[in-house]
Amino acid sequence: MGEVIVVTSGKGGVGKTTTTANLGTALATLGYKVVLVDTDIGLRNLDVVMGLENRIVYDIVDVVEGVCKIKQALIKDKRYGSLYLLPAAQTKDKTAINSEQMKQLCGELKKDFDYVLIDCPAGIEQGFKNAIAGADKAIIVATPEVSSVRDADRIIGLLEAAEMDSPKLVINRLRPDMVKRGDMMDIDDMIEILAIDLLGVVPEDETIVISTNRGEPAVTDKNSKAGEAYRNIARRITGENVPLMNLTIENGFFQKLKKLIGLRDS
Amino acid sequence: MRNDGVTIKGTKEGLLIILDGELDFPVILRKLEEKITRVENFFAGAQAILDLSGRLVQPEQLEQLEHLISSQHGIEIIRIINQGCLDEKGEREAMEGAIVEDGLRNGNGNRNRRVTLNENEEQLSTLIIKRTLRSGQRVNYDGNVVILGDVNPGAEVIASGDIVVMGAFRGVAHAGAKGNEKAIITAFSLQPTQLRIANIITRPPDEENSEPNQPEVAKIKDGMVIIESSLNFSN
Amino acid sequence: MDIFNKMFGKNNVSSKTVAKERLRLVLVHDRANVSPQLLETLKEELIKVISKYTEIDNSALEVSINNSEHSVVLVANIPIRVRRSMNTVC
Repeated sequence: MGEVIVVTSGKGGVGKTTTTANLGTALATLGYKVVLVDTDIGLRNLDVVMGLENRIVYDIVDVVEGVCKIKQALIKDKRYGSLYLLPAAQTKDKTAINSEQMKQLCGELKKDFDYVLIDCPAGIEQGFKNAIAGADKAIIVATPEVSSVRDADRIIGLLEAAEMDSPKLVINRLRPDMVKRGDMMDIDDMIEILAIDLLGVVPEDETIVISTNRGEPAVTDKNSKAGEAYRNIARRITGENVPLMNLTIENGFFQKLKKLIGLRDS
Repeated sequence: MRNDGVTIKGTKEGLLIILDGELDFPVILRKLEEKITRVENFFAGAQAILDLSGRLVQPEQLEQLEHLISSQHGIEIIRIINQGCLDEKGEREAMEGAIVEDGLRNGNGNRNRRVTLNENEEQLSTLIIKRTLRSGQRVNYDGNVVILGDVNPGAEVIASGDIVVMGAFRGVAHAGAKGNEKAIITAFSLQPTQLRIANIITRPPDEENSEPNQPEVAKIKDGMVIIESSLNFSN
Repeated sequence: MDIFNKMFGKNNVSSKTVAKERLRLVLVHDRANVSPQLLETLKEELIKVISKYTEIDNSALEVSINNSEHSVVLVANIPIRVRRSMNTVC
């Protein structure tokens, strides 16, 4: 019996879909059988990030309405044989599915897959309720910004109310240079405020934009810093103990010079 | 004419209920209910033609409309007109006339099916949409569909006949949705997410990224969907 | 004055510290789920109850939610009017 993990954030645009796509792909490369479920009905995107948009025939609404069987709607990834996508419908809205149907669906998927990753829509309405309904665990994605952390806190509260097992935090789009200047909250600041366990930190990285353009998750790019961070997070999900990657920026010429002449860089 | 989104007129055939494109669907639904309720006894048992030409209506919304009009107020919908967005009033009047005539000739109360399909392609009706279809919008029409605009990724066009796009096509198209293998899909710039003709589903190959620089047409040949320049197209 | 402040770093609070402080305050309210209306009602009822026992200065009464040392506290500042009681002379 597999595990259902929902990837959620409250706020939009912080990287839920990117995180789902990359963690799913990384778990598949580790040899697990994984299915990604897009619950953002009406605003689907996981298919595009995975580069599978032109293979969609049936979607999650067709499955819960009994138009097709689960197997017919699952799209096999073009790179990894053990990775599948269950796409959202684009021409319907969140109310096309209810929490009870979602629970049943997750129960079915769990039988066949090691990991069921659910990409949650932004917001706290029906779409969110559906996404968490069948989940065993939750990953909260937050960026080091006031609005994102505030929304993450609200989501943690809602998950507690839904009696979800302690959610884990992924800090996304961290910019070590800004942290160093004191212009961005650092890892400790965010953990202190949110008071939940840290699952990983993903640095801001141009390769995410490039990989999304191409429809190939960044974890497949060996040179991508963000990809490396996601690979580490995937290993932590499987229970492995992986240290946080080193995000300190290499010192530039001026900082080296200052050190040489004995000026301390505060 | 006061434009509150809902117009009810009497015609030879029965009531003509016209819904406009401007207002949100729930508002339209409420206005319609108000209008019908006001003169309930007068309308009950009547036959009506529902004209949705002015707006795009989702299948679920159509169900809600049918429920309101037929189940709740006992008005029988004998036909649904969906002719795309015709903004000039004169044009719409002309279209209404044509349809009423057509309907009388067929003479049956088969709603939503104005013309029989497949056996005689000449008789397929055509829906003209004068706008760009965006992600999440979906057109499902029993007949041919002509779009004077683009079809963006995430939009779907399903037709039992042909699909003609006078613009760029980037969404999902399903021509010959009822099994007509002679149906075609053509566009000024054909860059589909997915093409379906009859029961065949195809997608562009992964490696190909080039934009076509001429109008193209997709059709079934020897059991496969092929795309060729529409300049040397012959059916 | 500006130059003075800058030299001594008084205006130099990093934006991250500002962010953190603002977040703390916002979260205190979010978590306690206390709306301004609710605080106002609470204040009125407090006045009613306390006035039963002692005379208070209604206009100077303050009720707020604060964050102190990792816990959320309700702070009520209630100035009591000094009672001018007359002693009976016997």
